[in-house]
Amino acid sequence: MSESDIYETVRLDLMRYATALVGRNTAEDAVSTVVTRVLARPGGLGGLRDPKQYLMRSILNEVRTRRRQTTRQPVVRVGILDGAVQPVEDHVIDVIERLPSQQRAAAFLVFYEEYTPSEAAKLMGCRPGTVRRYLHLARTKLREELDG
Amino acid sequence: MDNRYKEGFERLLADMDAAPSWRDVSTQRVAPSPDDMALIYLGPEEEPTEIPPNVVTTTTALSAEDIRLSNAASVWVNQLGLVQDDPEEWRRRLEAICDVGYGPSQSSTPMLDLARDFIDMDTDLSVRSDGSLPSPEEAAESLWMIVADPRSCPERFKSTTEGLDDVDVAALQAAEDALEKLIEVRNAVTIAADTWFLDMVIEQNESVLRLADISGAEARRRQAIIDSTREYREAELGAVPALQDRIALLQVRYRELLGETEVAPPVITLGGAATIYSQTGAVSLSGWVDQPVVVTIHGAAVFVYTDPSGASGFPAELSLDPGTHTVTITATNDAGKSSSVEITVIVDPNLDVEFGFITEISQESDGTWTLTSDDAEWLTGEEARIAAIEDGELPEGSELGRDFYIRNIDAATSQFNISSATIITLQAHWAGSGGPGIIEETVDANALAMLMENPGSAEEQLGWSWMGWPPPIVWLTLDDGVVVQIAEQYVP
Repeated sequence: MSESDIYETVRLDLMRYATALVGRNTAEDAVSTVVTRVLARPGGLGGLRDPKQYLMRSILNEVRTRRRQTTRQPVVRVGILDGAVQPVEDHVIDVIERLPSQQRAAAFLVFYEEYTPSEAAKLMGCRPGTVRRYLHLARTKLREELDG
Repeated sequence: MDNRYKEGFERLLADMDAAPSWRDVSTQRVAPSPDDMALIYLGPEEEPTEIPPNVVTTTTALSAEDIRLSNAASVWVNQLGLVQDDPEEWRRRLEAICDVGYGPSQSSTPMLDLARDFIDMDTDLSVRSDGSLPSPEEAAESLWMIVADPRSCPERFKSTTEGLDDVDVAALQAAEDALEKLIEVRNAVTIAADTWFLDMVIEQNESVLRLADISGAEARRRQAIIDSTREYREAELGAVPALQDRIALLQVRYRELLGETEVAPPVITLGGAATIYSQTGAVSLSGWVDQPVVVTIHGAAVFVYTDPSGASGFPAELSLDPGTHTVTITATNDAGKSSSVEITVIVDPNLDVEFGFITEISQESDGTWTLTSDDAEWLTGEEARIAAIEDGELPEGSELGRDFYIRNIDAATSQFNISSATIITLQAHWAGSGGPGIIEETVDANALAMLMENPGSAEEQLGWSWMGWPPPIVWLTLDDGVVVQIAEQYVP
């Protein structure tokens, strides 16, 4: 399978994952940075045993390392500051945008993509117990934000 | 509750732009927005309302260059188990690595040659439990990893635009300028916060950090206040040096604000079992502490390396006389808080040691356990190469890809009884942030039997990921014919 074919196979998954982590405006940049870094190395994409898993881990690392503006800037919506009632969905997106990248990745993979914690752990490069801890923290945050 | 997240992600992804085409990705190379790259985190404008009183005032000066060198040394330890901590040596090595990594050829051969040279130089610096060395291929992989960190080759990371017709050269160069400045500030932040892993401080301790705005040519002087669950520290940065002065000293003045905040004592995680049998008295110890510490064994300080996460690893070798010894390991942090663990080492020249594959482990009706071992030999160095050729596994005159060979030329097996107190250690993937990569986990016979039947169950049943696979390759220590210790051999 050529490198182009490999990329075509995984690109939508990668874009969805990156969008969930950093938002659509910078997802493409995160994906292209990671993919081009791999392409520049001997072996490229074809040298990876599991390109999807490797690239998803790399994207999470990239996001954590670069501290994207979208995740680091305080996300404060005017409606909340004013005490106005917001649609529920907007509250949830606020919570998602404020989650640290690892909690966000765990929540996305398990709650949205419906991976098991064990499968998510492999994609994130940590153990299932750690994923469960991230999910617990994410749930707690959501509960605090919505009920507190 | 979980469905709320699902709905949120659905909304977040609902208007996701189409993924970039292959051509887009292949020609974009590095094109992050300068705004993204230049910003670390600008927290709320308000001053914190409560800051504990000052306790200590210290002025220190640290070199940004130290970070570059230590970073490479950390990769070398964590990936390969080689403790090369000579800064001058790493300065020399980085020069060579960067030449290859950013050179015109993308061939892997020069990096492999460098890896071979470095392994040769570090022959005596292995902290692997069996004292083995990594293969050149593994080491080359680590060298590429070092090169990939922008801090490793700060003078070299700028890409050539030659041959990149479709790239917006001005945008690329602007992004790289921003990245260059970001490296400066990252170094400054690292020093000011006295932590190797700023992300962790921010994410896990919900820190408030306000730092340099580098939009101008000269970084402005700002204060950094870190409010973590563990400590308070206020740092005042001197001006970040201009780019040509990258290796100049950064002046950092910080005050410890310990006040009301409790400093947690260190938590020591042993790299193996708490009881060790040894036939010869030569014992390898290793472990991990969750914070920067000084480690002593029987009162004598031992070498400690620091992980990017700020945790500490301590590999140590002991030579003990026959008898039963209690070895005390103590870790003490900067605040003077310490923790200790004790290890029992039983040195007995009459112990027997066997090597092989455990092909079966079963429990008898009386509750005792027995195992069947397919006898084998663990060979290293030239002995390994010759044996592999003799066994027809390697062509005459060839080199082994790895520096070991397991000779298992017949089907001879042995059966042993297992003591109720048998200590079984297996190789496992380290699950924390940073850390040693591979650690040893202790299990009982029942758990080993479960793993041999279903190796994928380790994560669910035991909470960690087993590195090995049935049949496990082990060293068996026998006392009067009974297995008292089973230690899985690390196989790279």
